[in-house]
Amino acid sequence: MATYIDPYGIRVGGPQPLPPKPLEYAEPNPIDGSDPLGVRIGKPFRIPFLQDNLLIDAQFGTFWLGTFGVLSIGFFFAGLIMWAGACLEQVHGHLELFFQYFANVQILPPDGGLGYAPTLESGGWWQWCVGLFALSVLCWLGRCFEHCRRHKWRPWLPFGFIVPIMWMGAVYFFHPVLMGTWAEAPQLGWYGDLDWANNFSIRWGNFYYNPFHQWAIASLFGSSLLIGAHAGTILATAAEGSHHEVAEIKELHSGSIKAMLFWKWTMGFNATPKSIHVWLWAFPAALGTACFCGIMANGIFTDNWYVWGVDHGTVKQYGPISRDAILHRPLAVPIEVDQPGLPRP
Amino acid sequence: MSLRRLLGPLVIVAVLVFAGALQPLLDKARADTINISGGQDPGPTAIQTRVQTVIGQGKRTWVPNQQSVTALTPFLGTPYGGPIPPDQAKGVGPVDQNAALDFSTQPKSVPHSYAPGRVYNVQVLKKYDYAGLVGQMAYFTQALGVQCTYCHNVKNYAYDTPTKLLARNMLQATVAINDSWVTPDKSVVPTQAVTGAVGCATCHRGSPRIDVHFNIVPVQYVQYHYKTTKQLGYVYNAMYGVARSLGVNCLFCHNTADFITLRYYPTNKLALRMFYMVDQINHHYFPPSVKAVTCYTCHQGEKWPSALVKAGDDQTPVQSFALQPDKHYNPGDPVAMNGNARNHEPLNGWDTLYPDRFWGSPGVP
Repeated sequence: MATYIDPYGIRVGGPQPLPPKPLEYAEPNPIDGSDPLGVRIGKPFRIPFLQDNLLIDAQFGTFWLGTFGVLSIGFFFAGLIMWAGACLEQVHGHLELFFQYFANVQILPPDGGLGYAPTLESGGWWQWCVGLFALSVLCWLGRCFEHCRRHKWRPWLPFGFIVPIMWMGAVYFFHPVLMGTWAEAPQLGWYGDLDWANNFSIRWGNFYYNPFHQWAIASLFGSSLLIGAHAGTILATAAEGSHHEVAEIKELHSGSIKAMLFWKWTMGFNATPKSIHVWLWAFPAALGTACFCGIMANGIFTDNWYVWGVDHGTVKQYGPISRDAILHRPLAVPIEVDQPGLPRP
Repeated sequence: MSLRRLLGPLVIVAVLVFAGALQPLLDKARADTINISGGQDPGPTAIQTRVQTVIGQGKRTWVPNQQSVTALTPFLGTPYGGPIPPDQAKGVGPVDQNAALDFSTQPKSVPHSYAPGRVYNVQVLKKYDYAGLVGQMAYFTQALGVQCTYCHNVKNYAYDTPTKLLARNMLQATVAINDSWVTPDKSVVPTQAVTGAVGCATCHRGSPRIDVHFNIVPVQYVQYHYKTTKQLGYVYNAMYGVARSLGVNCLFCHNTADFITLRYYPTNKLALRMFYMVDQINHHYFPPSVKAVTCYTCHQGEKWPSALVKAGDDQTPVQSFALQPDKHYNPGDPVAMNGNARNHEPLNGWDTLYPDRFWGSPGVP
């Protein structure tokens, strides 16, 4: 209609303002500046030199907080302080010795049963450190869920994170609780952790004969293989745009088509841009599940995996097996030593 | 290829070169704080800070240098002992030659005026005459790397000094070790005769005071019914110390398919005897001022200590006991004998029934 000025001095009609520009993904609300995702801190800065020289994007920031995120960082720094205190106590406060013996310092779990260690030195440091770091990791898991929720994504990322958390939980918590002592859990330390892996394997009769350990090794090799294959394939066909995986999932272009044809001709079947990522999620999940089962099976299935293997036909018996050694206690009526080839009593 | 792309690697290389140039200065600063035990040089460069000269031998072993931390076990159960703090390094030390002689505390056989050529106050080396005794003293000088003044007051060689008392203790220990342990072990090791015997040099190797290389002995873990992984860690550290002291790995004594159940291996009897011997030495013969004697003290990294007195052959081959299960080191022990086919009792079901089976025994029916 024709344009005119109304009694209030407002122009009515005439050229109208354009509709508002659509927001970028997760851009702050232009009216009140609130963030649809929650609080994000840090003005982003770029280091252009790194764009091609480092394997990450050259922009650093912003960083999304979240209630769980703040809690996680808080617990983590608290645990770090406890860890530093325990290590410095071992080297009697000398900082240069801490760096010299960095690989040797270790924080040991308490002897005896479950429950609070009576003093810091007898295992309290360990309980504090492991407890705070565990809370930090659990809060980080909550942060993952929260973040995905804000983005309205499917929560496969936190699901994947749950797998190693369960594994670590089995090592540090569930298995010690079932065994009735914190001393089954690893000490914290470079060589200390490695010593635990060695001692744990010896105590449970050689982990190589644990079928869950074997499954885990297979999953690990499979994961490495899949990562190498997928990464190699995409990088090789990147010139034709296969690395734009989100677009390729919607509609295939020549890069992805060539990648799929390569594998089809190599092994007879191929994945799709989406399904390869399902494979890459599933194999590490299988790995973590196998590790969880392998740790929890100790004591439930057997006390000694070598003897289990002999009894179930996995390994050849090399010499007389003394089964009283497995029970770890002297018996009123001693068990006869089991000669090879004879059935178990 | 622009100059800007080179900037990153150049910076990294520059930092490395700077650190490398700084290293000798850091070593010099550290060298002032290193304990020097026995007057030996601790080691020249930072790369070798974990290496320490073995006293009296000139060889290098892999032992961390402990500095101002005098507590020897900050890391629980780890086998490395480290150097002795300087206040203990010189040991009982050379005798004070200017001290007044107090004969009221001496045995009756000590003369007030010493006349050379006669034997006084000899309690252990009784079978030697004067010339033989002086010869023994010469051997001590060489084996311990000391002079006469270390033990004796040269105004009166028969006078009992604290060092002489300790030496007497050591002599009794040596005799006891040879009589109780070294000689009877011949029956346990039939293929290699024990041609030597333990002497002063076996342990001392040219120094009056020996570093403790592994401050953990395995005897306390024999028959140790461990319940937790942490407790087994102590056992492992002890075993590691034993293995490093002998210069062997785990396979020398064990079958690593399973340490726990495959424990009845032929070698364990000999190993157990040696553990008990070390325990006896530590508790029975040496005073508490002497630091612990361990496997390393005699073996010094060799399976067959080359410093055995009157050693017939220091090239004696000592083969792994665990890798030769058909050698019967414990004849008559039905547990240790693995049922080899050469034995008089071949066992069934293991490798006589299915000798070519790939996946193992038939299993439980």
